[in-house]
Amino acid sequence: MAVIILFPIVIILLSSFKPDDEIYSVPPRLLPNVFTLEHYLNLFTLFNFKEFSINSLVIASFTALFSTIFGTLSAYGFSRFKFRFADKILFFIMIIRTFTPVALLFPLYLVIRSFGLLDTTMAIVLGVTSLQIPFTIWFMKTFFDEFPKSIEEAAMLDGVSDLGVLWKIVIPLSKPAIAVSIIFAFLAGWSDFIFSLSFSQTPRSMPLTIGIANMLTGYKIYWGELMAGGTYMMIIPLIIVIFFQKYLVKGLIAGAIKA
Amino acid sequence: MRKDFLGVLLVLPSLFFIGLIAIYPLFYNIYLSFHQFNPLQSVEIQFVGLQNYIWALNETIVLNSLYITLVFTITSVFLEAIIGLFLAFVLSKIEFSSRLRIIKVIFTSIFILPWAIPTVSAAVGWRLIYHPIFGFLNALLGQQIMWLSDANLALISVILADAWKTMPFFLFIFLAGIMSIPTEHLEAAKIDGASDLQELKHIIIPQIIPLMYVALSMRAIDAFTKIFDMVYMLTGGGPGTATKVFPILIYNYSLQYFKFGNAATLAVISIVVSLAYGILLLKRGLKA
Repeated sequence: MAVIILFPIVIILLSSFKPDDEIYSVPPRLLPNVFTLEHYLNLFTLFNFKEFSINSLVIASFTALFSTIFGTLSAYGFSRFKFRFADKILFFIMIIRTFTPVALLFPLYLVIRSFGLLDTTMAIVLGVTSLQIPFTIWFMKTFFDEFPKSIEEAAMLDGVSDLGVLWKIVIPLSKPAIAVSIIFAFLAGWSDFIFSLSFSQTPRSMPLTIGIANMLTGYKIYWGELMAGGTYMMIIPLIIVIFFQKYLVKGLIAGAIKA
Repeated sequence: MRKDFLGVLLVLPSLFFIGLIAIYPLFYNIYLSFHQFNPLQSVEIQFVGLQNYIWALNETIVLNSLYITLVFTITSVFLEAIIGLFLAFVLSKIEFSSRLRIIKVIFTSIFILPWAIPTVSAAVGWRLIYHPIFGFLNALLGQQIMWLSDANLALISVILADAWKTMPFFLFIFLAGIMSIPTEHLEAAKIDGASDLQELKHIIIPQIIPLMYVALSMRAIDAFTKIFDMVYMLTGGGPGTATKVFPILIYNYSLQYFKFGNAATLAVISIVVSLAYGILLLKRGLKA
């Protein structure tokens, strides 16, 4: 069972180390006869992967930073304070999660263009962050709703301000939930396709996802480099899966089961 | 009074992002859907009334795309749910029986991996598996099938790849459901000599039916509205219009053909579907 699930991943990994003549051999063989790193070297010498990697890291990191900060603050606002239209706003934010991103994309494209932000990583960060914030708000609000209010009330009796309570008591006790938000936002930024495809035009802002997708549109498809690129992009998610799987599972099932 | 103000202050920055991504595009789409705006031909935005809507409801490509998206959604969601349930059952056995933590870690890693890797990585792997000449699937079957360029097969090929990628969603929700069933129930069944299949059918499924309902309805709207990367990478919507799902169609009309009026109309249609479905779902969810 596990073998079948892993099969496509193993194919990418093993093929990335095969020399060209072995990739194109009919019938294909699973294991490489000759082990080569030439495809990986080509990624950096022929395909701008250095720039792409930096852009992907920038996009993923800033998406994680912005969506976690703004999403967590808002979630706390929704969970602890009563203000006009709060329920309606929250309802609308939840509904946004069901929208087609592409449907919102090209009005946003026109905004980005009029700000002169086309072909910048910040434009992509803006897009991914906006779509990630509803998830963060919703996940963190579920967490805060179940967070015992008595701790905060005790601190307030001691004269700690509202923001002091949030900063000194709530945030330190929310580390696991915040970790889930950061990991999910980082992966969303790292894997983003649509916003990058639309807002990025040159290697200046292009992330790995679009760098790899563009390798499919040329006259010749460089299969070895394609597999090396696919493998290269999996390294960070693989590390996250191995070390933070508890948080991944928590975020994944959060929709159906309360956090 | 002061407290309420702080609440608004905390919510405000997020609302800026949401306004940018959702509220402005929503209204701009509605505005554009009554206009013709083809920047490649003219910079002028021309009012055309309901013409775009009449076009959308009569254009074969649009109706065909809605149909394909519906087929995609139903098929992939059920496929994922069945595979997910089966794997969740297997994984629950492993979790119950293995005392070594490392075994759990390894199996959880393997099963969550398809979901965690970027779609782009998964897609290049599937491109190689599906390749008609040096692909692994044809080698395995001893055939020369054009998995991605045969109009009759392309959609199901895309569905399979996407189901593989998304199946962990169901797997881990169902696993959490199975793990929350009191162990006495499962042990009692074992003592009565129930087979694995009987255990799944008579004990587990009845217990997690509410969970299945929630997971299926959440995943269905996601499949309908968010399928893009996998199709773009595997077939680009082709051959012809065989895999032109609705998000791809909107993308075609907007940032490829630059027919913003038509694109906006399609966007409005898709948002109306989301709104109707979302409101229905949340309302029912609130009642339950």
